[in-house]
Amino acid sequence: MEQIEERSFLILNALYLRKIADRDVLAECSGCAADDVDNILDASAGTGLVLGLGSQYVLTDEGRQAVLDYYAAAYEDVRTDPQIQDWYVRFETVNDRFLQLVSAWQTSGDRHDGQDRVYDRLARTVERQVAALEQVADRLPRYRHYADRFRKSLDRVDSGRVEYVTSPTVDSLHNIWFEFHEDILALLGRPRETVGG
Amino acid sequence: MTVLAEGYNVFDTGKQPSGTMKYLGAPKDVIALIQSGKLKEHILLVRGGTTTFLAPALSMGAIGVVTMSGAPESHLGILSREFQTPCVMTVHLVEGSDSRYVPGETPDSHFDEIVAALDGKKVKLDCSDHDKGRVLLAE
Repeated sequence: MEQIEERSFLILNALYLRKIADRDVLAECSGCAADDVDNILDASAGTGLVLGLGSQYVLTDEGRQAVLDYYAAAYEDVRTDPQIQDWYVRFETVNDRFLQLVSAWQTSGDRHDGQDRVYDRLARTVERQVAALEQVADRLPRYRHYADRFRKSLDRVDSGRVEYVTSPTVDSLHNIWFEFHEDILALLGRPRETVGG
Repeated sequence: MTVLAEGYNVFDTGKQPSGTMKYLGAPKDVIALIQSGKLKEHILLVRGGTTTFLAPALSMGAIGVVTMSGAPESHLGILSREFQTPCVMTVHLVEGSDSRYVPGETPDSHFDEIVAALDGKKVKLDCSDHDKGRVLLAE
């Protein structure tokens, strides 16, 4: 099985989390330079880890396994850390609330007052998650990037760009949350199908 | 029109997508379908509402989704609303079976029975009811 190094992991992991993405999205999600994304995608396509679908990319089964193998090796100690496990359990509770609020936001439609109230609660939930990410950032430095992306998208929504709440085509709060959820499950070695949401 | 299965409707829509039901069990099935160029000929059937591997199909223009577990307040439900892809979740067969999905207590036979009854059938989705979504046999 193909072994990958850290830089490749960051970019292939962004694709693992996002499921399908173009080069610009992968640079934004991974925090890596566009040149690095280009080089690693090209190399990974050559070794059969990545598949191009027009301008979009997906991981092959081998690519997914390479990412999961990297998680298993890099986070072996973290997986048995009771503090991180407790931190994750608290996230799952917050996750349930977040998904309900996003669904309420989507279905509140033309009732602007109601939508504002839902968004206020949604933003507070995201702000609490940003604080939670910063709590573990010394142990898991990669998670600082999620906190930075959440802050940036909250600012964009505050400036009136409401597509940054849930749109799947921008770096929206839901997209970032979705990626983080996939990330923490892979980090702890928990199969996706064992949890809700 | 014959109702084959019912479940939670993720959002109300007048769209009534129709196509051949196709069961997708793994990420590679999704990729193969996209590569075949026939994504829009199918209503997609997956096991779980947590089936995040379906995301590429939604972004590439899937016309309808049916799941055998999961709730509308899930990542997949949220994505289907964003893409306006009609989606019916946690379906059960209307005739010939009393089996229902119960989280953590559902045997594989429940899912196998639904796949056997729906996979390959020409179907249409009715998502006009606020709560209940229906899988209809297309005439």
